[in-house]
Amino acid sequence: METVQALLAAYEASALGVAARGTTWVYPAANLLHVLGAALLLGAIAVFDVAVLRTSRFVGAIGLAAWPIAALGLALQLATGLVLFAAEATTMAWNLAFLGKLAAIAIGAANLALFHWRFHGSIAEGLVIPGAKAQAGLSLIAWTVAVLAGRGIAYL
Amino acid sequence: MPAHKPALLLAAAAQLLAAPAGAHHGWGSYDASKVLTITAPVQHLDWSNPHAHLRLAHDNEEWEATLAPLSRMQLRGLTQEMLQPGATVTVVGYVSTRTPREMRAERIIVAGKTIELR
Repeated sequence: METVQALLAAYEASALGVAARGTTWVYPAANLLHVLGAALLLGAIAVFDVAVLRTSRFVGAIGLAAWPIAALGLALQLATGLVLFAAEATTMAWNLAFLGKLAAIAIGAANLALFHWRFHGSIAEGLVIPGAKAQAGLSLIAWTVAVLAGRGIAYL
Repeated sequence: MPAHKPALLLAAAAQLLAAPAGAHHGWGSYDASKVLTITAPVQHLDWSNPHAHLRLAHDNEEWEATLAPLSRMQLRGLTQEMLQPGATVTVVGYVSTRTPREMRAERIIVAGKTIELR
């Protein structure tokens, strides 16, 4: 635990942390782009998951259209999230909402990897296999919880 | 250089532990029925995002006042220079329900200017 806290302290004391806290606009800019990233990521994921849940015959095309938006959103999330985290890593790391958000992201990412491994071929052919629906539902829940828990950090 | 790293880390950790518990939070963890007004010279200014903090003496105790994000304060004409240690300020705000001797400032009066912080 002390090692973790020392690592967090070092990250917080890094040039990135100093810039996030000490400049007027780095933190707000990262915060704004973090919201944009969340909108793109969850929006694109939701469109695809709902297509799977509805057994849409366009699921292959929807998947192709949605993934670059989701990837852009995720890239924005990672880049800006590291800036926001650097500003207050030592306290943020123990925030219950933040820990819940990390857990939701881990579940969402593992679910995504499993979905890709199980169904990639059939989705590309525009088919929805029954087992895919359960995973699409879990995906919707996990990413929604991740976004809500993220906003909840400010209130816990 | 590597030999100095652990010492540096420890120093940084100690400094952070000594720093005010600068949690990022909304107004929910403050008791709006407990309005506190402190007029005192600034003892310490932490001019940083997501919220700036002041340390002020009040009833022989050290209080921490949580202010606003830097961008909001600057847009409203409150600068880092106005809050340097020694400057007399009046903060009006609410007492934390979580952290002892911490308040969130609704407004601050400094150098004859009143700046709203919400």
